[in-house]
Amino acid sequence: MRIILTIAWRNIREHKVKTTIIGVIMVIGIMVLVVGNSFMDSAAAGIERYYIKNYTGHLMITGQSRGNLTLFGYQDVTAIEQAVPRIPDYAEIVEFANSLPYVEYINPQVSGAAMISRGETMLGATQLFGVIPGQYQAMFPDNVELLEGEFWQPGEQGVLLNKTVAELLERRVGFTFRPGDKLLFTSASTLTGMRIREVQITGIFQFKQSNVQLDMVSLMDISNVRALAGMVVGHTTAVDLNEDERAFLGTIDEDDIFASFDSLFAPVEVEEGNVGDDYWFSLLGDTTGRDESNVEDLGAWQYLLVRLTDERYLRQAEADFARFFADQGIAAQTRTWLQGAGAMAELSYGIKSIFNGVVFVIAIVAIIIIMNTLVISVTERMAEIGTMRAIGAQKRFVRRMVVWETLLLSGVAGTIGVLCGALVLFILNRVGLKASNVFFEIIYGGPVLRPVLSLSSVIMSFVVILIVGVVASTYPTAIVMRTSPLKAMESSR
Amino acid sequence: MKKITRIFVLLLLVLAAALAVGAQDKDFTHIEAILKRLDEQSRFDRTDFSALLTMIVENPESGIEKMVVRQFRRDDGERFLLLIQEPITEKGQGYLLEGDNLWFYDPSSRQFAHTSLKETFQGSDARNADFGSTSYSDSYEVEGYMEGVLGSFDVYIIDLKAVDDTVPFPYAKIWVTKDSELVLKAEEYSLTYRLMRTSLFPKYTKVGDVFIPVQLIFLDELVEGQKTQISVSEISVSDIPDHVFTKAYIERVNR
Repeated sequence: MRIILTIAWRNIREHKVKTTIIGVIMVIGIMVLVVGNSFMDSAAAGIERYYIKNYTGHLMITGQSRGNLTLFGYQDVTAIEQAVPRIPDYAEIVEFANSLPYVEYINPQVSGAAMISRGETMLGATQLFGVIPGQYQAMFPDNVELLEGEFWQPGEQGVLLNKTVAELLERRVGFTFRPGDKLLFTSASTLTGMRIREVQITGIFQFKQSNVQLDMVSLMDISNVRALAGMVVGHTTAVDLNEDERAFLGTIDEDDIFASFDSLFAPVEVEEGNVGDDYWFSLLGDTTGRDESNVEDLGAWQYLLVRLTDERYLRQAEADFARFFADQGIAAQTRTWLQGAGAMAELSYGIKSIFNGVVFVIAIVAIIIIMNTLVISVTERMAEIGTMRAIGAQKRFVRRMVVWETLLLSGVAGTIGVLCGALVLFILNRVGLKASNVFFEIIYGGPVLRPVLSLSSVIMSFVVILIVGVVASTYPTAIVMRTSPLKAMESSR
Repeated sequence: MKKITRIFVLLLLVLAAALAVGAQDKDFTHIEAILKRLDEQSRFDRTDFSALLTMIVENPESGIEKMVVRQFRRDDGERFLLLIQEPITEKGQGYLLEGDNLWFYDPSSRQFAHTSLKETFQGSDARNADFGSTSYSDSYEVEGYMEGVLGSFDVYIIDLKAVDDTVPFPYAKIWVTKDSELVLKAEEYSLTYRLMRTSLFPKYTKVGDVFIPVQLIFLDELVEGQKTQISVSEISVSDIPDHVFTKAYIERVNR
């Protein structure tokens, strides 16, 4: 073994041009891997850290439902089919959550979206988080930066308008909104119909760490968000249909509907005569029942966000809640912070996967280049290797010699590559990478990224470069082994 | 030589015939006339119109919902008022069309907000535009047509393209009976020509000179099993006081 290593090391030093070419390729390759992976790991860790800390907590409890339910509502086609479910048996779930020693904070929320208008002018739209200020700030103490005004007081109503939303509205009206101004919020869901609420601005804020999706979120008192989301007590009257109304339920056969000429015209009685004012002003009759049905459902929440004392309790928390829901027969479920975080966070993770794919392609290209260089190098040394074989060197000995040459080179080049990568990352960390546009903001998980060297990227890069070295040396070794010692020695003439 | 001349003349004749057929295909004058008549025979220009609409909304997730809506319509001036009577949670909500402006009224906050004719009506598959007069001839241009059969009816199947963005969908296909010139079916398409909604009109009635569908079925083509049927009853063409088409009326009737 020592002889092989000595010969391999001597060969590396002897063939300086070959060593330099392959070494430089390896150094650049490993540096790209280390910087790229550290960069993506930093971004992913940053996204996870700031979402858990500022928006989602470690877990999100919701009512049971299919589809991609996030803190912003459904983010798939099921959004037009189903409303975000209310959490059933909310009080029991809260009691259970508070009884768990590893649960640090809980925060209930309701989500909605509304168009904003003032007078007759439609100004824009906003995503709404319906929150209780005290609980929200206790769980997320560092995420809101108040630029003007304040949260609404307990028992009062109001909206804290996101700075980005406020600026969009201000561009439409030509003046600046101040706390005290009132805006009309109109929700238009295909499932709950339209609702309007006039709400007073109590403040303008911005999330300290944000992205394009979070920039559109305003915080509103829970009563108004519930009203806009149609979360009212409602009515329990069963739908009563007569025979005609039931005629077209279920599947419809067009040929059957239009089968007869006679059925096309229906004799309808046309009412005659004018009616008095009484008729016109009593069309709705008694509206007491409506007012009772539209009373806010005070126990209705869509999300219960849970922050744990430590992330290591995550699996235990998921299991404990699942067991509790099953035992109590509660149709609720937990979702991870990533499921709750929505499209932007998922997109960042998606881009990371794409980057890993790119790294794989780079590794393949590196293998081909190194393999090609090694083939040339080994072919040049054909006479030397032939002589070694002729004086008694076994095939296994020669094969191990070539492989160790490559491994030694990989090790040295890998170490230099990691050091270079670490230097680049140190500089980038000090400088900070500012996202120049929305695309980079998504990748960075925020406006500025300060990448740090990640251990996993160093290990992965070494593994990749060693595999590249071993794989790249197999082909030239095979060429050498196929050539007879006599022919190999003749090739030097 | 004679043979070549004969072939040449024959080719010219075939070409002329083909051009003539092509030209005939592109002549949509009679189809455009049908669209004009469709609009005319669906407008209440000389009288007002009111009716009670019973809407049954089938949703594969939430089940069946019933809505009862009082409709008041004055096509001269493009006005309508839709006043929701059921379900009780939405009682008193109203949609008021004044020319180009459509207002929604929410009695729980006593506020009006602008909305659009292109929006869906209260989460149903009907669009707000479905409650006014039709304007096929103004809003669409004919892209083509063919003759066909729907059930027992001989129909023209007419391809339409919206000329502006005032209609909910940019493309439509309508099935119009050849004899009575009534729309039995309509398909509406997105800009990418994806089928979005199918509408069926299996029952009509004639009020004066106006034909109105009294049974309407709207099928959501994006959500399987989602549809809305509307039955029209308590039809009246008596005069409606002017004040009914005002915001003040909606506020007052909700007191």
